[in-house]
Amino acid sequence: MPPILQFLIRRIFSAFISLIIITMVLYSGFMLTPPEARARIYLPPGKGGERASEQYIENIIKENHLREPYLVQYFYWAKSLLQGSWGYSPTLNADVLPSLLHRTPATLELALYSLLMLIPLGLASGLVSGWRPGSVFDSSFRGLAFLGTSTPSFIVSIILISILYIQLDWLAPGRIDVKTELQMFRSGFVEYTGALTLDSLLNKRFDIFIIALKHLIMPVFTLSIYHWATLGRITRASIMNERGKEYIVAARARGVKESKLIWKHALRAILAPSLTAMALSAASIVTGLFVTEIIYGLTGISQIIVIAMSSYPDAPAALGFSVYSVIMVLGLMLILDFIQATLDPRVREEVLKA
Amino acid sequence: MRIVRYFFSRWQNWLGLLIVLMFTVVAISAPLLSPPDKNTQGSFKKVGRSSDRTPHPPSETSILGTLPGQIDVYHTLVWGAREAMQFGLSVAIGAFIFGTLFGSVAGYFGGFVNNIMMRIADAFLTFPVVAGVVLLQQLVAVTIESLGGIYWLNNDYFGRVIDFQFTPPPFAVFLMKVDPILISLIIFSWMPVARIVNTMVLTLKNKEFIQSSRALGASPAWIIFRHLIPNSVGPAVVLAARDVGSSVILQATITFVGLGGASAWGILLSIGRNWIIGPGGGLLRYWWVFLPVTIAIVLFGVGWNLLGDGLLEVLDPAANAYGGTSMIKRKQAKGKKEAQSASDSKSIHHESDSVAVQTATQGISVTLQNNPPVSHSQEKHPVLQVAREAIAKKDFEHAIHAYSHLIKHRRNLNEIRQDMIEYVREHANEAVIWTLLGDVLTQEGKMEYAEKAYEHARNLTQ
Repeated sequence: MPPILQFLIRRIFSAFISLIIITMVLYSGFMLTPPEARARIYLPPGKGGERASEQYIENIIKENHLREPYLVQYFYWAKSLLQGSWGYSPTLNADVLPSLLHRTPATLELALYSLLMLIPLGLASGLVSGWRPGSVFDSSFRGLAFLGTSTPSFIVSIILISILYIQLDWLAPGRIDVKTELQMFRSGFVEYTGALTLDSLLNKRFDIFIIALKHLIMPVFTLSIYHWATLGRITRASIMNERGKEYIVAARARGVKESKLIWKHALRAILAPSLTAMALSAASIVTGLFVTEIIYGLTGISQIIVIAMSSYPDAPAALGFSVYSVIMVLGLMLILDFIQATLDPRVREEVLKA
Repeated sequence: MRIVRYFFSRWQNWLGLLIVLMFTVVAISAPLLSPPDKNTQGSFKKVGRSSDRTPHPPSETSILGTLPGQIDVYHTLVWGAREAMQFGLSVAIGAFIFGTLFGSVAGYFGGFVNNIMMRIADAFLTFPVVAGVVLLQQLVAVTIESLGGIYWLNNDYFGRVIDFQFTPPPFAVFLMKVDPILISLIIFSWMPVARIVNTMVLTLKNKEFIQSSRALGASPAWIIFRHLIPNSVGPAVVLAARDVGSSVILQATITFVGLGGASAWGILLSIGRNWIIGPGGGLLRYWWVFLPVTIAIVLFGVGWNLLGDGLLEVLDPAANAYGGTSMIKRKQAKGKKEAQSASDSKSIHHESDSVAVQTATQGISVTLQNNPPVSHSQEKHPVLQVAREAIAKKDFEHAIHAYSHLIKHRRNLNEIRQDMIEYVREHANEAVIWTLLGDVLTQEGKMEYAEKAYEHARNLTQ
């Protein structure tokens, strides 16, 4: 087995352990509610709210072992999760898991473009500004980064929408406008992946690709700016540490070009600490993802909590959403780990040794 | 006093403190700045007919204009500051208390228990706050429902509606009283505090004063509360203080996107949003709907972040994310001035000294710290700066080289000795540092203490 595959399997296993721990914590929080409340995540369609009689609830409690000790209950709940029955959501009028899966591509699309923007830009700007602290670039980067971290995302999006959409009408919120959607429907647009930018390319409809991009620019910018600034700052701090190290001095003495020093030697060295810090804030990236989606009306998975929070109680949707978003965070961490492992020679060596 | 002076030597810290103080003053004097009257409801005040749905620009009755429904912007701004301050501080204090308890208990028991507990803390890091906020509110909702009540979410941005047709059971009354957003933000912000307290407790608990306390028959609770927690709270307080700004911003965000919560500032923005990003609206046209509250939110966040970063840097120069002039470099820049304040430094280190007093270095550190610094007249040698910079960069090899050079030439022995005592405390297992300390003491003629240091180094190398 190739070592990188071994590494991946090890990481996936450890992510799975984390998932078990966090779902156990989740369920122990759920244990604080009375069994009658817990029974509500198992209610079938048409039985929400007042419609379930006491006897009915009592049956559900018996069936799902809701009066047993914690570990037994957790086991049955985890089993039902693994079997794919995540409950029925009364507000969505649908099963939770299919609704989540159906909305995932839109969320992943936004996440993918944002990460593709912010990781290279964050690393590059941090590197350049940390290489010569005090330069014009450095001070302007620090100013921008401060602005980026201290402006809340919803304020950034209000400003962007009011200027770029209301005043100039260049870009638009939402996933796609009604007119285009109708046209897509009529012309037999095939949804291969569910992500509009990819689908439009696969359908060879470049006009729709452009429209989809126009709808993505504002959310991608809003989501990226904060994390770009954080990543840039961390990178800047670690490059300032690295810059005086002997290997850099030695390489410079050998006559290695300055640009090669930065982009080859220093970049490799700071990749690990920067991406580790990034992985630690994966949860905050996913939170930002949801908030951005809601503000711009992108119909990703956060639509589920918006609907669930709009009228009456809907615990199955909230619980399913929580588990799903933890899986997303763990996945993001895994991806960042993987990038780090393939690019950082030290980590790669460790992988090969193990 | 040296710490205080470091803190005030940066304008960012000044600014942060100033903003936070300003918000504190506004929060405390809110009843004076905008007295409530019969049209006041929570943090909102109506200054006209509520059927009037257009925002009016600033006038005599409302200094900063009104929102649709004639809600006074100024009143909400002032009382929102009071709410934000309360909310932020509650989250920070909650996170501090829980994190400190969790971290210190885990650290005290150590080993397997510590691993499990810290793994749980790490697991919380993988949980997005938004999901937690929604989940907690839904759990409260289903509980109320199963107790026979009626729960309705998001009633026109003014919070949730809970109703019972009969006298509610006590548990339901409790659930109605607590703010789920506050609880969930505490649940998702205690982990950094727990981590740092845990690390400190793990290093502290093997020190002699803890072991002697245990030998005297002290209970775990006594040791944790009397010894471990007081000795490790400093950084924990700073980490918790950093939560104040971010949690208020998060609360406003959650309110703005309509996921519950009752941030007055968030409600203000969401009521006015259609006049900014709706058709015919604009940032400049209806500026009073947007600008004042935005500035308040941003300033609140900036103030607390600057203050938190400043405090963190003072406590731990290596953690400075800005990468600006580090504290150690700053020490050099101050050069002569510092000579006068050297005696002050004793009092700052007093608390950490009480730890050091109990360690193996007992005799040495006590006597040396009590010795008044001798050679202030001596100029600081440039090599000392090199040495300290190297230590700051964790470049120990260079640092040791520089220090031994200085010791050999009997330069700045006083400062070096103080440095060494500091490093010995941090890296008690480094034989090289003990040897250096021995060298300094030999040069100073304190042979018996030097002998102890050398002995320690020998023990470590064997």
